[in-house]
Amino acid sequence: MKSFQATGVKKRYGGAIALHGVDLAFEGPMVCGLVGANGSGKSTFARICSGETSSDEGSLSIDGKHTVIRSPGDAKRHGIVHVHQHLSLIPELSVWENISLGNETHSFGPFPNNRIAKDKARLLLDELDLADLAIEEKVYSLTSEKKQMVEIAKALLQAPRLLILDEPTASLGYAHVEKLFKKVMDLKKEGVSVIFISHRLWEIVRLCDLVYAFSNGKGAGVVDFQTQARDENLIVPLVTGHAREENAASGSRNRPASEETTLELQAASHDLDVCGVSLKVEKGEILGIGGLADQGQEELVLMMSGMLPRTQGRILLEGKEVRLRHPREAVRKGIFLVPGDRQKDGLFMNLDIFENVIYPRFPMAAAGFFLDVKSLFRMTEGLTKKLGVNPPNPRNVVSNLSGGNQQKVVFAKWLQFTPKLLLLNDPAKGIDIQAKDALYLLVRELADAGTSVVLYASAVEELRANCDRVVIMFEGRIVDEIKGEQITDESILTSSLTKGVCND
Amino acid sequence: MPASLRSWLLNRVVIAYLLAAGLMVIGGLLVPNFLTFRHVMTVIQASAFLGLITLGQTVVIISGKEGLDLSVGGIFVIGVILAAAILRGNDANLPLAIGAVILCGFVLGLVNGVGVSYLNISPLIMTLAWGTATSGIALFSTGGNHIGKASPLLETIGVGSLSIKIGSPGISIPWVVVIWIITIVAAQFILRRTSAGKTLYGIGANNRAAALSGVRTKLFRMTVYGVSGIFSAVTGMLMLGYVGEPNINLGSVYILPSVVAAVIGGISFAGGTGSYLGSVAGAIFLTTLDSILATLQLGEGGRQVTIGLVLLILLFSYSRKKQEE
Repeated sequence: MKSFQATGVKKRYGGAIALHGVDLAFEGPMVCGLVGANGSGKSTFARICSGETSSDEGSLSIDGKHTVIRSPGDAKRHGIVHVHQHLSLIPELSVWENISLGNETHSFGPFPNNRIAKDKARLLLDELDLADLAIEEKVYSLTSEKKQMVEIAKALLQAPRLLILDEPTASLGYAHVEKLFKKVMDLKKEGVSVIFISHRLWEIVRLCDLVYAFSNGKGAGVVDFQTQARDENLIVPLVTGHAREENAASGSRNRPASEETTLELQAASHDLDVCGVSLKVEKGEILGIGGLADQGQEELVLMMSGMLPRTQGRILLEGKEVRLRHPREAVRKGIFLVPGDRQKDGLFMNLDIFENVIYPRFPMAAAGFFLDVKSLFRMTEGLTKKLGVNPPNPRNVVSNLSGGNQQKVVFAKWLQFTPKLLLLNDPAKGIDIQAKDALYLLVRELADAGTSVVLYASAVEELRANCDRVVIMFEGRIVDEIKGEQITDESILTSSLTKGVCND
Repeated sequence: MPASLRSWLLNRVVIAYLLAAGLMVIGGLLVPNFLTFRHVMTVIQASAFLGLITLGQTVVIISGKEGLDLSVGGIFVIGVILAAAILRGNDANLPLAIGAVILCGFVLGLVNGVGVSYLNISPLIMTLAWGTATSGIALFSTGGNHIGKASPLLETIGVGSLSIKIGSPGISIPWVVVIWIITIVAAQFILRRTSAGKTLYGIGANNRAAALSGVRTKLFRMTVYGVSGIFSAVTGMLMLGYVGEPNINLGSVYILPSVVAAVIGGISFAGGTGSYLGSVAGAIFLTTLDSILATLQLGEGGRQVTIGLVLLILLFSYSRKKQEE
């Protein structure tokens, strides 16, 4: 009889299958690790356990008893508490108010007893070794690290029997990771089990008793540290090994090295998100930026586009220093960004294709003050046909287009000019395979014509199939570089998971 | 009903014109001689002052970020007293007065723009406060006295008409209306067919996307408030021509109607949509309603209650329609 057992858990979102029948079981109290690449189904599994989403098939049992969890309230009654990757605190409330929210102690009618709530909050924070954190402080004034710790304290107030920690260490510095680990060990001694999700294998190796690897929504293997040696090399092949079925090289990668450098960063930083990054992008090169999620890749791309300010370092475009304080400067110099969120940053959703495509001409004064609507319309028509926007009529409102076609409109905005440097921030997110292939073919054509491309993609195979060179980022720094033939899914994943571990 | 006709009839601008025309007909039924050409022109002349102020209001609302200009009344009054003080009844001072009023309106509007765009103050608060302050400046600088007056040429523009010989008596169109028509055509052209107009709609529809396309959105939005200031101040100068002598109480009546006219005309507070043509219909609608109620001699209380109720019904039906969409 296992204290926690999940059998055949399946979940699909629309057409995409997030989990194809996952089994997981452990005997508590225990720290059970979940590892896997982005999108392998770890977080979905955690959400099912805590009742935030329901599984399509499969069952859960706790202490041998079949258990149905339909809502977070059900989960709480069974002692399952989930600490989210994305924080759920209310910024305007104080630390103690956030911790007690939803778990108030009532000593008189409907009125919560604030003294008890404050005492409990203080006690929990002390147990987490956070004596210096004032409970009266408003949450918005805390660092993201402190916020994460408050989030954990909030979960602990609910006296969980099973605590699910979804990448809790992503925003924590070394000292706080230690505090968290100590608390997790204490919890285990008190009989509480923990499901611990992390991309950082050394944390998994140190903390967990049992590790389940996920790959593409399936269980990819189990490592039991109670019987096996605590070695991360036991885990790496499980995560990377069968990660991708297809592994066709794109063939067009053998690009002769170019003499010309389009863009050069010299120790460029943005706050703590990008720390002293130096790199060169050659003319006609497609440079990939890889690594685990949220290691400063997007900030780096946004910094090159002038969206995020540079706090240190220099940027040189074709050998000349540029300031890039505003996207306007980047755009006028031929540095174009395809943003990660096309609806929020890329398009005017309630305007038509034509209005969207011609818009960048205005700040560049490329259209003049008085518009020659007819010729601009013909130009737009030509672009939509060339890019295969469907339907091609430029009078279609953008919000009616599919994701892939919307992204083509974003590209059309920039392709009417000759880009020197094209910055792609996860351009294929949420679009189907055909549209994705068409987009990357287009990017390759642009690169062959001399445009330099910087590509950040959350999916490893997009980097592998399209890049001439991939740099791996970890905590805002570039920790590795993979070139040409050495670029494989495995090499990117291994480097993402293992490089930069003990650089501090 | 064919789909194209149906969608045309559901267009907010078309609805606004139908409403204004319908109200005119109601006026004709209730009030004798309401629908004569002369009287209709008088109503449209009165609408022109509101309509010109509403142009500023319209571009500010289109620029998005909860854009609103409640300082139109205050800047309008500054336009009135500044023009009177410079003109002092002499046509020779007219070029100087025009220049000063435009510059002053622009600078006063820019103050709103700096607050909203660079200091991130809510437009509602910023323009309300600055409108109050500019009204105060008007009162303070004149001490409540009439200083100077309109010049003969300005008075001709304010009250006179352009006569056109069509038929035996001919028709006459007030100069103010002529100016308004020219402004409407120019505004429509600039909003629809120039980089500046398109840029305006873009920053209203999606400020981030506009910035990423290379637009200096803060600078642009600040300038939009400056332009609204110009329209308020210049309309104040025209109003001086209409009334002859400066009066610091002229502006406050336009503040809320300028917002309401834009809303009736189909402007959305979300920004990025709508046109000035709709606001024009909204201005005519409001002025016609006011005119009917004035001739019916309902008294001030009855007038305000009726206007309030009509607006509530209109806005209610608009929001219903939006939900259906």
